[in-house]
Amino acid sequence: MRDRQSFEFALTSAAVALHVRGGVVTDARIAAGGVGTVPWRLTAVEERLRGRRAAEPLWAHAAEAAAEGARPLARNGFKVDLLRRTVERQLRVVGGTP
Amino acid sequence: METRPPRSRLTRRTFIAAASTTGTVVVAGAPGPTASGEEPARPPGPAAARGDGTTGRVTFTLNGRRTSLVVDNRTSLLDLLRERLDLTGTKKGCDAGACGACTVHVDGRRVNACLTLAVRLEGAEVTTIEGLARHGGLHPLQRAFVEQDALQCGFCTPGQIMSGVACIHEGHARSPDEIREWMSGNICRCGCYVNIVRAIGQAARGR
Amino acid sequence: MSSQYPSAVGAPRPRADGRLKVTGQARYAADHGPDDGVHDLTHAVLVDATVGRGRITAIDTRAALAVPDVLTVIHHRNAPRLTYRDNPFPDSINPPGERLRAFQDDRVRFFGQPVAVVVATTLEAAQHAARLVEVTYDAEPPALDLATAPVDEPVEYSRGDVRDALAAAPVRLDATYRMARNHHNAMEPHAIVARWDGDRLTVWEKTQWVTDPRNELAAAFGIPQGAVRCYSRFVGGAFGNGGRTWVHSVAAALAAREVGRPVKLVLTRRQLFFGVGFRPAYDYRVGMGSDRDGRVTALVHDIVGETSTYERHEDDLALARMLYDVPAVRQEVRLARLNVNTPTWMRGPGWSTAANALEMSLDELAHELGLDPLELRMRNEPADDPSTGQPFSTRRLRECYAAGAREIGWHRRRPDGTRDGDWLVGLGMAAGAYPTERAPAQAHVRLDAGGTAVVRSATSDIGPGTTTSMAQVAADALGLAPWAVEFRLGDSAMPPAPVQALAWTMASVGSAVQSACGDLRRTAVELATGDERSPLYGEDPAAVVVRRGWMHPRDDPRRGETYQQLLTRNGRTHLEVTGGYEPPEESAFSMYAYSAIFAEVGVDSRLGMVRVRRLVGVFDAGRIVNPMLAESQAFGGMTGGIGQALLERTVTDTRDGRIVNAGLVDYLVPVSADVPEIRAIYLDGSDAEANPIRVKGLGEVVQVGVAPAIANAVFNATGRRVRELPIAPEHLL
Ligand code: FES
Ligand code: FES
Repeated sequence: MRDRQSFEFALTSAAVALHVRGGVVTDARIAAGGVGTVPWRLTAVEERLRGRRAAEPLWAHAAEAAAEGARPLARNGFKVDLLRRTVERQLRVVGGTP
Repeated sequence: METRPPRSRLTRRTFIAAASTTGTVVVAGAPGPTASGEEPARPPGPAAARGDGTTGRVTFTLNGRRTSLVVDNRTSLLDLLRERLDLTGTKKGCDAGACGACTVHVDGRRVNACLTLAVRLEGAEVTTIEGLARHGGLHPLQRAFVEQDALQCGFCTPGQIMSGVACIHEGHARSPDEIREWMSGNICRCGCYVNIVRAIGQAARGR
Repeated sequence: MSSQYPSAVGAPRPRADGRLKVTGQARYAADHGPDDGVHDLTHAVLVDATVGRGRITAIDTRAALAVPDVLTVIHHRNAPRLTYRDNPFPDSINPPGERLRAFQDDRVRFFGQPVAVVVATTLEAAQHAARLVEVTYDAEPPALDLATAPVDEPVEYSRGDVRDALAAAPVRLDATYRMARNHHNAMEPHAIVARWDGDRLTVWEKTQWVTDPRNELAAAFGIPQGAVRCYSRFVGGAFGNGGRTWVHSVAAALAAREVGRPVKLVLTRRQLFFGVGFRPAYDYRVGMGSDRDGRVTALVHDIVGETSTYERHEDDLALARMLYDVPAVRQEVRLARLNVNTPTWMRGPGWSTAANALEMSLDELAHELGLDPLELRMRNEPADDPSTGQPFSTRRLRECYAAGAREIGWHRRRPDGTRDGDWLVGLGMAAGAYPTERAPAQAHVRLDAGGTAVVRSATSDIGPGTTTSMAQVAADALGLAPWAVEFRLGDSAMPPAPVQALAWTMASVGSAVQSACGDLRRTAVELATGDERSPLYGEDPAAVVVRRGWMHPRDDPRRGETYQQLLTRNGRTHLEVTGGYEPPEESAFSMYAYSAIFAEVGVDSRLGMVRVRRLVGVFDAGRIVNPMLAESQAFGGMTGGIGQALLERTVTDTRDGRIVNAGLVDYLVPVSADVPEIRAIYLDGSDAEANPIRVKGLGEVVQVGVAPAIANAVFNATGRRVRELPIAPEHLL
């Protein structure tokens, strides 16, 4: 997710790995970029994913937790929301829509 | 028109190679015409000769020609080409890896010469825009750039072409969208992208 | 000219210097060296102020001077006093005010101001030593904010009674648009190589006008203008900030004089953000009144823009007065005095700024009235220029609208946009204009006995392809094939030409070239018709035409002779003529080039990313000398417009005036992936009133209206009106 279409660091980015067995998320690893000085592991999101059905209401619900505890600066408050949306989008891309 | 460097420059490089094989410190002499009337290489400045660990000798192939010289360890490949070897076709747009104007080929891969330290080139094969086409001709991509008017001011053009040649070789020129993505490291402020994409497409199709 | 065959003009000829450019042999300012007689070159690096305002209290150069290979460090404490004669317009394009001088006082006017220059025999040593110069400041808080900085007296324009018209208007709109500061960021950094030979100075300088460095350097050093020679054959883009001569050029020449050796100075990309001007930021308020049918009855423009504390750069914001048929208009422009370096022209200067605000507000009005934005513009199309009362020489905006609407498929536009998966898709349009300007110019032409010609004029080629298009004009006027004509430029000793800006080079220099070449052709023809040995002896010279170098009576193409035969027989090595163009003082017509821009954008419904999917520009620019070059210029201007709309903003640290995104990593200009297929259409035609070449200028108008068309498309896609440029994802979440 960036202003320019290429050749730019991300405003926010999300890396998503899901283990899905029998339609259920058995494990998840989620990391975010562009929101800290290092890539940030989103354990709260992972927790919301584990053991739940890999289907539509889950992605938005889990992504809600993406910015938990985030403290934005004066000019980058929008990133809190953008991060949730980016994670949600990527969860859907990886987990699929029904 | 001749695309090879003029004769005096070849002689200069020959001079560098000759000086280096005898182990002499490169260009110890004063600048100015030599007895034969040829100009010696531009002096690298006393720092290059200090021998206090701030300089290094490097031998590599430049546009098909073996080149050996002592360089200041801080010198980028870009500054070496431009300021010492008079190969000014490679341009400095940002000196920070953010524009692609300095793109050259090192061992067949496109690199930003501004981010490449000259001392690291030991044994490498370097090709610049001056060495892209041989025998006074034009590389098909150079011709395509002229035919498609893929340039305006021309300052980004050497970098675009070096990058474009590599882009085609990498197999990243199979569609306009792919070219756009893989050429996005080369900024053209004149806004020639539409025609650059066409030119690379033309050369990739071998027309 | 009418007696000649126009064959080169109008043809899509590839660039005459294309081969030099694609092989890396084109030499830009910083590429000059031994082959140009520059030996013993040294390198200069500037030291920049690290406070936004204040005084220098101490400079410690000991560490810098201790670096091997360093020759000197020059600063205000040790620099010689320079003459700095006044050098106002039209000798220069310095704006009114006190220009910044090279190391002449202890004052810091803006962050990044050059405070010292280091000279060394190697670039590495100069760069390293520049970092070791220790400068101590007495810092004061800089003025940086448009909203709070002191402003000059407003410049006012008014026609009709705006107050009454607004009060009576059934529909009213009031909106303020904020436009970010933009930096030109041509790919070639500003650079200069300076060499003194006694009291004579030669510079190879990046400039849009070789005359300006000549005059400014002569003024700074108190030497005659004729003692300075400026070369600038290839320029790596400029977009406006290569017009005036900035302080670094004087610093480089001063350094060369001090060390007694030639000096090369190349600004770093970061320094370009602090030292060579920018498109000023604006807060632009539009008040508008209209009737229910969309006839705009009142327009108010309250504008605050940036300038520096020491010079007054004023953009021309007249577009808002002439584009639509509005009876009552009031415009007030205030300039805020900020601790910045002086802004300058940037592509479509002023006109694109005004178009951004006016065209976005018109889109708002169309939405308010439930009218098609295109229809709204048609309803306000004037018959004559409402700002002067004069008739337009040509104004074909309606045709531009029709062609653009057809090309983009405007009929597909829905008031609430459409959807394509995650993408909200919208269509938007905007109009623009740019005045057709002209300036005096001269050209010299020499026809050699071999049958080829060389034409010279002290103009520039910053990218439009001047070398190529001028040769086409010359070829037709001489009756030669274009390949037989070479056009040379970029040397201050050539016949004078105006700055390459304001899209007036073809109108001005082109007219001079045509006139000189026409004179030369007539001279040759008269020589032939008066020469008993010529097959044309006794012919009426006015009835003789020349084609591909063959002179013949118009009605008998087989009887005649070549230039070559004529000159050889007469023992002449060449014929030469210097000719010029002097534009009329006044014109009975209002002259502008016009643009109609149509954009299709996609906006990611959740993430706010904006992608331009299609862009169409239709231009009424008079005669097109070279369609291939003209198309490239349009692509360039429209690409610049994408940047203005979606990417480009200079961000200042409000504590000290430091620009935080001073580099190409953080100041985003469009890359290839941002630019879709663009379609550029020039209406066929010509403007007989404009100038002898019948062109209206295209280098500027191609960017006017692009950004608002994209912004209006974003509104159509999302229903969100972002009154800020650039539009970023954060505005659309
Ligand atoms: S100069 Fe090397 S990437 Fe810009
Ligand atoms: S042609 Fe000017 S920057 Fe690309």
